[in-house]
Amino acid sequence: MKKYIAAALTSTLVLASACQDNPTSPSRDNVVAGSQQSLQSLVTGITAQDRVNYGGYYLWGGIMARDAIVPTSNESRFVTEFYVTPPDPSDFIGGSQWTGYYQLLRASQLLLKDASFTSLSTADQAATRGFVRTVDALSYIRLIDYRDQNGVVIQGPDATVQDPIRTKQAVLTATSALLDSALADLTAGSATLPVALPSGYSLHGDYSTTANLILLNRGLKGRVEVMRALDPVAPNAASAAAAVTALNIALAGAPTPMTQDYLNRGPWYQYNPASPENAPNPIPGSANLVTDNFVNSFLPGDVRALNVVPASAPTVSGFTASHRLKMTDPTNAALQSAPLPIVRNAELLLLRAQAEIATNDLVGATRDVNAVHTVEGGLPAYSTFTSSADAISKLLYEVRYTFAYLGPQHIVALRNYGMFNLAYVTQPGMPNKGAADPLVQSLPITLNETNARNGNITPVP
Amino acid sequence: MKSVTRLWIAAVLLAVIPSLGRAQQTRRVTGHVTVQGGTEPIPGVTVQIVGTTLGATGDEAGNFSVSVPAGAQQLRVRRIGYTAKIVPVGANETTVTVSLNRDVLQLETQVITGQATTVARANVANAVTVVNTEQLNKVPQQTIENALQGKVPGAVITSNSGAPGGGIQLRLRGTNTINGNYQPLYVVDGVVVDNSAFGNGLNSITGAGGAISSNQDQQVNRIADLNPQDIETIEVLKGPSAGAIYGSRGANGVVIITTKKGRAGTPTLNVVQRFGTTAVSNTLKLRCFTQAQATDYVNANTPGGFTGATDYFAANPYAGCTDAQNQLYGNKGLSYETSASLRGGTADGNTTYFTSAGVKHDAGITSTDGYDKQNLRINLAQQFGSRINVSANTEVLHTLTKRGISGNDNNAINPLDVISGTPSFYDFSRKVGGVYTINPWAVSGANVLQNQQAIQTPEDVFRMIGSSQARWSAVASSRQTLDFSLLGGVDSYSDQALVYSPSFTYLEQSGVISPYPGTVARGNTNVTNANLNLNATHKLITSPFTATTSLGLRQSRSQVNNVFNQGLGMFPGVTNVATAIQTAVNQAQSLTKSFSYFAQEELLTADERVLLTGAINAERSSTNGDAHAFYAYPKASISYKLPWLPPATDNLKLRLAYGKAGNTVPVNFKYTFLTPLLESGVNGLRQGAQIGLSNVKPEQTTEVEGGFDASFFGGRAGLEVTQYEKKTTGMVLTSGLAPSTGFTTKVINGGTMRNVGTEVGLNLVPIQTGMFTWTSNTTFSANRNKVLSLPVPAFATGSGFSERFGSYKIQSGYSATQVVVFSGFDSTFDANGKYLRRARHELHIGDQNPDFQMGFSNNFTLGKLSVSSLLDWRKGGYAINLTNNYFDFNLAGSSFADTTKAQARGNAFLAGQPVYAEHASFAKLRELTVSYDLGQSFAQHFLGSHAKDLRIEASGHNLFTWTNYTGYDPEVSNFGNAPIGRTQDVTPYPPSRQFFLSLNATF
Repeated sequence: MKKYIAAALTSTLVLASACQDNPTSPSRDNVVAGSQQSLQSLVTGITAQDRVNYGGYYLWGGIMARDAIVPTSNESRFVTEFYVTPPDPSDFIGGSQWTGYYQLLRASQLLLKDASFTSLSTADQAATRGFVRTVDALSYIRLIDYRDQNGVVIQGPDATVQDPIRTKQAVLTATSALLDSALADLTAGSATLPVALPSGYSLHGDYSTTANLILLNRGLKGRVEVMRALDPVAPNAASAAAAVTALNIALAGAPTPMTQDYLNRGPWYQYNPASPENAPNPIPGSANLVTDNFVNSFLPGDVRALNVVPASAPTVSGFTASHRLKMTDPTNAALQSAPLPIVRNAELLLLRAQAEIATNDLVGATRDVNAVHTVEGGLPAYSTFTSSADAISKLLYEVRYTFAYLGPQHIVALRNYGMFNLAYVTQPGMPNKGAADPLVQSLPITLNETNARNGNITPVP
Repeated sequence: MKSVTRLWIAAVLLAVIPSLGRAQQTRRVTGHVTVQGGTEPIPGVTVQIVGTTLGATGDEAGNFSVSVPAGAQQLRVRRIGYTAKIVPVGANETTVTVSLNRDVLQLETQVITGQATTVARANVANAVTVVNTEQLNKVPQQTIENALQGKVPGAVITSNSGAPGGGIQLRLRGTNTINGNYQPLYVVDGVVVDNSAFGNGLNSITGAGGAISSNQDQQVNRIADLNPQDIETIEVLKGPSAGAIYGSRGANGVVIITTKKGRAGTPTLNVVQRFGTTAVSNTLKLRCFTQAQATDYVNANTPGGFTGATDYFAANPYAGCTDAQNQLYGNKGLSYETSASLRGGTADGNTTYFTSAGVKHDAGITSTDGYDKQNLRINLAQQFGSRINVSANTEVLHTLTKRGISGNDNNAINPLDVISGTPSFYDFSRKVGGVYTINPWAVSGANVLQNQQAIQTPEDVFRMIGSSQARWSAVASSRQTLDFSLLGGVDSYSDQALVYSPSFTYLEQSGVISPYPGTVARGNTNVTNANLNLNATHKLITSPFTATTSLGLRQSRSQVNNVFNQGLGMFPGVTNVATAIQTAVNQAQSLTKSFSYFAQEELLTADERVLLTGAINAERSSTNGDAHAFYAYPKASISYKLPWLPPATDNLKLRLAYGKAGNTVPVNFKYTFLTPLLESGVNGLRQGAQIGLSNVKPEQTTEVEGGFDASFFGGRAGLEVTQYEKKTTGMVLTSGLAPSTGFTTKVINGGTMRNVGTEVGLNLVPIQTGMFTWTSNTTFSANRNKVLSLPVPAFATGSGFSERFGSYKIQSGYSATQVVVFSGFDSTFDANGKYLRRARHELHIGDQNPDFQMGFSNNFTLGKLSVSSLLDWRKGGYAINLTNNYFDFNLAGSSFADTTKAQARGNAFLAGQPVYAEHASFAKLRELTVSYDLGQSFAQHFLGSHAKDLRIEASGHNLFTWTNYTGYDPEVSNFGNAPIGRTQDVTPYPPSRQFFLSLNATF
């Protein structure tokens, strides 16, 4: 195996020079070793892959939490795999949200070994490495978001080695350490990266500077520590405080009163449907609808309800819906290039609120929940939460409506708080709440991964 | 290279020069050849003086003239379709009259055994099937693969759908490869012709796969372009033991096509006029609603934009029980075909020609689909003196295919997808103000009739297949000959595909395709195959043996450039991509070069009872890891005609053959590519998903076949039995990697696969009287595949949708074409009985390929009346019927008429049962023809004094199908041709049957 990798990645220069079959795509040696162009291409390869991975990340979690529903005649599995049977590990649902992240992680590892990287100054190397490892950590977070206790693989340096599937706890611990390592690099690195980051990184704040990338890094650190603190299987007692610490750095300078501009700050994905990029915003879809419960659960006066519009859909296996969010309208051409957040401050505030609830700081939690509740919901501020349960209830409302069609944060939060009862919603055709309801809480390990391991996918610590 | 060639030619010349110039006294013998028992002349006979290389070819009127050495001699007179006869010629005789029997068992057919050599089928050591023009053209056929169905033992020929224009896979003796080329090599008059399939860009509107075009575009493999009527014979070499001489492209067998050539004598004009029609042969039974049921249904499942049944039916009146399948697929348009050929030559045979032209239109089962072909062929040959012959064969053709929309889609656009979700009380044909109504039941609003009228899918192919050949007879004595031949051939075509979905359709307006209504995809594919063959053949005839030695070299080149442009937001009626609001482009290109040497020795001895053959081909290819390394492919065979025979036995030949052939490494498998990912104007790159193998080698398939051919009762019965075993080693695998490594597959050489099979051919003439003849041909073949070893864990492969429906897995100990399905769940509970998880069982349900297949061909002739039929029976095999999945789930309570059955099936599926993997056994009446020969006098009465014959035929193709398969047709492949995973049934183009009335006149 090693020889295949080595031969493939190092000797293609020789082969390509003798190439007689006019290859369609560039081989690795076509990137001029050590040049600025090479480093830029390899870094862009990582950020672009991250954007590709988001193409499935945004959707499944919403369906799992039963906020989103996709009834379409040409693919009944959008409903049957979530409401009737578990997702199939061999298909486009159960097999998704896996491979792309590991392609990104391998691309990162190859970049850090590439001559175009090692020839940089120490400070530029540090800045680049800090950025790349922060993006790596984001990939691990998203992997765990969907696989949860099924565990995921921590990719090692050698592509010829099949690394074990690790428990969620082990992965979060490693991801936390990875972010700390990246922080050290960003701190020691040049003020600006030696490469340009995608335009979305400077759409809401300039996240191409190491100073702001540190904010991103700490935000993700907070996310990881919240996941560790609220892990229902093995909660880590120290993580809640660590999350608060990290998120305080990420949210330093938050304005009072809160502004929408601040809530939106963070790196975003910028989409461009035009050729040659051909990367439209993935969310618009004719059948990308929302459940009745989602539509009917808005608090009176919540301005986010204005984003809900009627829509028609077929009845597929007994499931249907009648509303969509405006952001999913397939006929709105402007949405094709609408940016989507990678991480924004609104998410960090709600993460800090979770950490504060875990540390019994209900004042802080109220402040942070209200920051989103009042600005994005246009609703009057809550009084200080009276209990953790009260705080969690209010928090989950904001999580649900802040991340609708943007990711799995709602199902992750429901999982963390053991509150799946909130996902047993009433919808034509949906199973009744109870033991017979196969509520999908996580995606399985993909069949290709399982086959390659001869079926052994038990995670190890 | 050039110097090597010159040396090689010189060496051969030196070896034979001593025999030059030995002339003998000769005389001229003329003769006339007729059919036994009649006066009908047999045109184009071959006459050879036994024991010598001397001979001649007869003219169109059955006459021949040959130069014969002094003294008593024997002439062997033969013609394809007739039993050869040896005729003694006395020392003083100068004229002979010969009559030949019809060769029902085809024992006298000449079989091509090398690049430039042939041998009589009676001696050949392989089970080679030869199909002649009469067998090919009994029924008008769209493609030559259609024409071969049921006629070649060991060939599984399967249509991908009922769409017009082709899309058929021919597989010989099982599946030899997982990732390599899986199709036989097609050679037309020495030219290697391309059989690739390219998408037409349908994916741009169906969204079935990625990119503009995908392998779900319901592709046509381009051998469909060839005109069956121009073909004299098709010879099928089924495996490496016969096709090793073709090197790295012979592993899957070789289909050698010989077109018709000119003949000495007056020209013969043949004109065929056909008229016919096509009709859908199977539809699904859909659910009907009474008005009360419809009202209840609408109230319970009110489509968007309506409040209930009252306002729904005000806008969409209750239409009873309409079958949208019949509305869409009920077309029975006129099909026609006009073809003419002219065949002749000078009286001395020095100049011969064959030219043909044809126009063909096959109507589709929708009013907008169909298939058109125009073709022009000119085959010329000129003899210069006694030693040089130059010939050129050229065909220019154009096809236009309109196949509509079928197969998988993700945009609610496929007609059957839409129909499955639309209750039958909605009438697609209703118009308001001359405009079809929007379908409120489809998320796309798609009205299938509006789409059918508005969406265009023309695919034009302009193709030229041409070859030029020069033969130099360097030595021609009575005992030996030395011939050199140089053949250059080119197969070049341009495939211009258009998919145009205008902006005004509800589909486009709904935004399911893009927010910019109006979609166009333009495919431009240029393919050029070229080969150059140089051969030297030396034949030495002595009393104990005849030795044929051939040496040669071959250079070939294959070039593909495939460009797709897509435009979104097109102005109505405009298909220029440059006017689009948004554009995209995809391109794929490849160039493959190969070079080979070959040598072959054939020894016919023991009074022509034993034929020994040995050959080797050494080849290199640019797709191999080492583009300069030669790989050797040998073959050896022996046939023995027993001198002592059991009672009632005419001939009994035992045969044994061994051969090894390769399979070309797929283009680019030696590289690990980077994947371009653009963002913010920067061309990003990351490693590709597949790890290439820098030293990848071609797969090697070794075959041993043995069997016997026997004929009985004076040519009234023939039996061929063949058993073979093929092993493919060093398979080029894209073995699955744990995706967590960052790669999904890696290319390796490894593993062994075996195919074992049996082929039987039984040919009978049960009745042969003066007036009535009944001939019967029965074929049987069965093949079993097994992966004997695999150096990596089992991995999924082939195209499919999930293991839950049925997919394909490469696994040691199982067939490479096995179908695996998840079957049922295992639920896991904790100690307190709390449900934890469910996992599925994996079931090895069967194989995609049939257990066996049989073909039954019968021909009854009563005087001038002839009736022939062909029944094709295939037993076993599985198809994955996802079409049922659509109809089971897309209407509350199912859209099938039998809702109880459909709901039970749907519930079983949701419970984890493998209900969509279905047995795909069937029997089809492929051909039925009634023909009447009106005779010369009748022909002259109506067509003038030059007419020689007029025949009228009524024929049908795919007239009946007997199957328990519940889909449209068990012959189906959503992903087109593929070695593995070609049995996915996803709302395909329905099957059809064709009827034709033909007039065939000869002048």
